[in-house]
Amino acid sequence: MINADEIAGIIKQRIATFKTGADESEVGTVIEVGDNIARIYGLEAAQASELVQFPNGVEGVVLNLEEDNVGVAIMGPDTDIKEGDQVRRTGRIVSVPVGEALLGRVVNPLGIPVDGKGPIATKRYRTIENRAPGVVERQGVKQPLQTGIRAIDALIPIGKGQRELIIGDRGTGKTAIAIDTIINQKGKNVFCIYVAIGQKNSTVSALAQTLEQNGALAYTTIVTVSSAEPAALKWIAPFAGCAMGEELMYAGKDVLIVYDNLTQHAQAYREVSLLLRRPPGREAYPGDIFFLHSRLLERAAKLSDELGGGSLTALPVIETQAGDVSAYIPTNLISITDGQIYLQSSLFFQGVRPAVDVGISVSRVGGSAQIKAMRTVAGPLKLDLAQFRELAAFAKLASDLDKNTQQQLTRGEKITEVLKQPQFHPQPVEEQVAVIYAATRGYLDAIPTNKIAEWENSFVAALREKYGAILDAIRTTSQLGDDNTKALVAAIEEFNKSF
Amino acid sequence: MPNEKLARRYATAIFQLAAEGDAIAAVGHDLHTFVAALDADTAVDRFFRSPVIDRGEKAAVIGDAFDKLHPVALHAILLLIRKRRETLAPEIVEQFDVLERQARGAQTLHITTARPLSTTELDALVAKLAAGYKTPFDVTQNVDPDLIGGVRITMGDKRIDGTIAGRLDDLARMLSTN
Repeated sequence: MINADEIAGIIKQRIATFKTGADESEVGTVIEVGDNIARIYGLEAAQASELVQFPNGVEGVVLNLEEDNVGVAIMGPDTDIKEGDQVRRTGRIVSVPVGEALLGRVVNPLGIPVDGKGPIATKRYRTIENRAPGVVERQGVKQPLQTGIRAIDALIPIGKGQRELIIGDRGTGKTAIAIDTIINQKGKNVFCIYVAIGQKNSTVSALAQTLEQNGALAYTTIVTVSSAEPAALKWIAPFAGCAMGEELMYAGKDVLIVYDNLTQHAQAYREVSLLLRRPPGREAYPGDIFFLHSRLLERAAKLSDELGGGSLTALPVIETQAGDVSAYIPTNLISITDGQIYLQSSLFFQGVRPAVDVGISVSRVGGSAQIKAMRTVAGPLKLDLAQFRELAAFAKLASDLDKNTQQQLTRGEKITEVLKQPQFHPQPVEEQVAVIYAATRGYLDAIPTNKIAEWENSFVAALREKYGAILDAIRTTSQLGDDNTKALVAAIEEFNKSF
Repeated sequence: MPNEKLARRYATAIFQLAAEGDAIAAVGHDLHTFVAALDADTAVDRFFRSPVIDRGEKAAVIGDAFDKLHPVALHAILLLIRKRRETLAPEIVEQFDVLERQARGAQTLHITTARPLSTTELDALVAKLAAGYKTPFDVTQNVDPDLIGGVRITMGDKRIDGTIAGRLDDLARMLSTN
């Protein structure tokens, strides 16, 4: 608890440093206000995206510059704003505080903390809209960003600087994948930014707690705007998060940013655009909705070594309706990103969790975003799964099939089982390699399917305990050399005898 | 203000005609006289604005009553009657003033103080501002005791706030953030 003396001290200090003297500013007059949009007469020198201040301290962002008035989106409650109020230019283009002081914090899209942990100790600000790095400022995506999820790291690898879309119906575990990925960055020197757009405050609070319990909040910033807040705030949220990430990227750090979700973001932008009377297009979205998302995601990059080699990896999330990926916003996002992870509700209810549909999910970066050991074991995995999908229709006739087909079906079944993984249990890549190796080489064919999860757990535990050298070797060399393979095979065989 | 664009078009036309006839001051004065007459007498104002009175009749009455006005001003008013734009008259006069000021290179200057300023104080203040901004000013002034002390100066879009009330507002805002 802060005591009265301290408060008095703070106030005294504030008053002592308070600037006095005449204050020169440019002002305009509110001529119309409603739906969180104000039209201001005057403010002739106002710039696009400039912040203006209303008398009660609420800020707004200039969106439309017209012949005799400017359209302003109000980023706060508009209930106290009246016709005739004086509006002041701030001369600041919308910007947010940036820097490492934001890590471990929950802030709103203007960078104002909402976690009750006091002011943010940074003096650095960055405009929310920035030019994306150009061709010469980048290099190819070549380092893996481990999600800790077997199905993704093995089959749909994500690289640092990539933009990978997470798409699926509601309740299919989209956020869970993003959160697992954040948790898995612990100790990997990757900073994370989670942008929650239009989610319930209770959800965000629970999420912050989950991250804290898993020790992940220390390297994470949460930018949140709830569904009850003005659309203008929702619209700037991902840009604000991106600016925070860029600052770290240009400082040579690796950053992961999750936009959860861009469907809500598109709807918020549609709301603002329609209220500003911009012409509606398909599904009533404005004409620049594609540009809105492409300029946001284009800012994800792997910078060249001259610029410090930092990276910003983006995981945008999109919610579909009844699996319809051909709607307007999902198709836009699919075409912008470098691949997508499809989550299917049918798989989810069959118990395949994470419900990743590995058949139609892709990563356009591919093998270059995997360590060599993973590349070696993932090859047969893809083949086995593809064959399994082709034969799955015949699975009912199991007893009438030839031995070879039966064996492929069993293998597919075991692999599908191995790719299941509980939430909040991301796995280090070396353990993933060992497990997948065992599955693709048929060491699990004899284990009953319902025991696979148990097998996986105890096998990994045994590996850590008795065969730490194998894991160490994979981790340090990133390869599955001949000697190591032999040791791994021996370990699996020995473990299977006792299982 | 929503009719500003419309009013500006009429005002521009009237101003150009007045400028061609070298009668900007006279036309401006007469337009103000007309609007003042409307303000002074609600019966006249109602008659002028009423949409139900026959346009020809209205034009005849107004033409007779204001026959001393400069022809450009009078014709402008008659045109408004013919076009059913009577309600625009005050805004047109406002826009005319804007154009007239622009032509002179002058700016409006509105001074609000907590207590009335003496003429010497006002003159000194205006002279200082005119020297600083290098433009002549059209000065208006009012008194607002809520300002507590100091002076608030508004020039077009620009505002210089040196009042106690303004500083207290700033202080309140600063203390309420974080």
